[in-house]
Amino acid sequence: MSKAAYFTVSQLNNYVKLVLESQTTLRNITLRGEVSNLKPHSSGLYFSLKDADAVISAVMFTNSLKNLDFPLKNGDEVLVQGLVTLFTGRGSYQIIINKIELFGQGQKLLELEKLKKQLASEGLFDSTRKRLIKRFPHAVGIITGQGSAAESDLLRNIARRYPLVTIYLFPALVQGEKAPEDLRRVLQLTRSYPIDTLIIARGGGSSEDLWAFNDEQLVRALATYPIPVISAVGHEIDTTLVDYIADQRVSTPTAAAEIVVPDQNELVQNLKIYEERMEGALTNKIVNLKKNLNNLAKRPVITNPLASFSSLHEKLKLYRKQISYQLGNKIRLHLDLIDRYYERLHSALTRRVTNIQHQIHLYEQKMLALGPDNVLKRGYAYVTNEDGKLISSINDVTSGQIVKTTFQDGKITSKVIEKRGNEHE
Amino acid sequence: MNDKKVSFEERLKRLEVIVQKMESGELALEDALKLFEEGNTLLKSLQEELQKAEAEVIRVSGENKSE
Repeated sequence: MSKAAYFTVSQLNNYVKLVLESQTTLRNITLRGEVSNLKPHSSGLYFSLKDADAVISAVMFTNSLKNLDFPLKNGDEVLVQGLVTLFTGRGSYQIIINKIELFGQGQKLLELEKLKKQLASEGLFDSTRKRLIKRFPHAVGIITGQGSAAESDLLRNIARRYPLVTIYLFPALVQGEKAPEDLRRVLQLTRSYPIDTLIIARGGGSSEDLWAFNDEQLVRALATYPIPVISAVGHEIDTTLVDYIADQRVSTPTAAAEIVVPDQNELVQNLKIYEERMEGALTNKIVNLKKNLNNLAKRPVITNPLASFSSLHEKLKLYRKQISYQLGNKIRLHLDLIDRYYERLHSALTRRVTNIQHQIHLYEQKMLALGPDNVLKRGYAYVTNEDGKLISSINDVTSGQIVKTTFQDGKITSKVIEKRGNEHE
Repeated sequence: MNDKKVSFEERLKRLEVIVQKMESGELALEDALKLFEEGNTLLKSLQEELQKAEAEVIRVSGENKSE
């Protein structure tokens, strides 16, 4: 062994490090492995990557951690990108990672989670967007695998429950790479059919099998779909994005059949109940009317109409009596008054007439006594002018006037010689 | 096929209205009898339709066969 030519440990490790780092392949390698022995440290994340037979140390320094967009944990299957080098202090080689992502299903799930968040933030999964499933659909559309168990299950149950419905079957690929595109094509096709409700169904399977139902474009097409959609994809635990966007989600085709159409047995039962209720209502009506009639029939006006009339008659009689009594009193009173006035008037008039007759008689006597014939008999005479007008004053005559004097046995004609007033005597 | 004039649903709704009206008890006997008659006709037609109907199946793509 030559003593002149030897390496120190440090020299060796540095040399190997240079050799490693000079390899292009190792400078930027993509490596798949499972995370284990994860240790967070102030300078970065330290862990091991392993497969079934081998292991390698790995580190992700703080400055690269910004590229880590998921919570890394032991057991994660990951793809990393980095530089293979040697940790000289320990003489162990390692990979310094600058990028890391979940591998395969893990990565897909991560992307799905991101997409779900994105769609949710757009409000596409809001409960306010959910529409009511029509209770009595004329036609139902079904998108599912041709000849699948889901298809026969849906057909059988829908037809059994509600025979009035028309079922449109839209077979589609529900699995595999071409499934998303085919589902979108068929969804577009359904729009030109007169259906009230659409069912998208697929039996259970691995999450890989159901992957087509997480397709973003399919979900967006469903978001603008014009009629209510029921999803029955996979089982209860396998929730796909189609389940989130659907107006209603169920876990089996049978359950879909139960909400998409009513059950004819229940309908027949309900119809029977309606029939009974109508009959009951009508019977009640008639019974009530009868009761009312009976009550009316029991009233005295019906049972003994004459009684009420006779009592009325009694009343009338009484009223009449009362009225005639009152009226009679009044009339009598008035008649009495009239009688009294009449008597008074009569006696007054009689008396007056008697007086007048008496006076007339007296005047007659007087006049007889005063008549000129009797006076002439007693020796008096009266003087008239030539026209026969009685002269009773000297003023009635002038001197030289012719006057006639009448006596009881004849007349004389004479001439006024002188007239002299009484005061001159 | 369905009676295209008035749908099953509409007739069922009308029947429900009739039952409620009749049960309100505010009807004259004559009106109640008329409603009863109308309700019975609806009921018969609905029952018959359910009995006679058979779901129609139309396959949209692939072979067009009815079941």
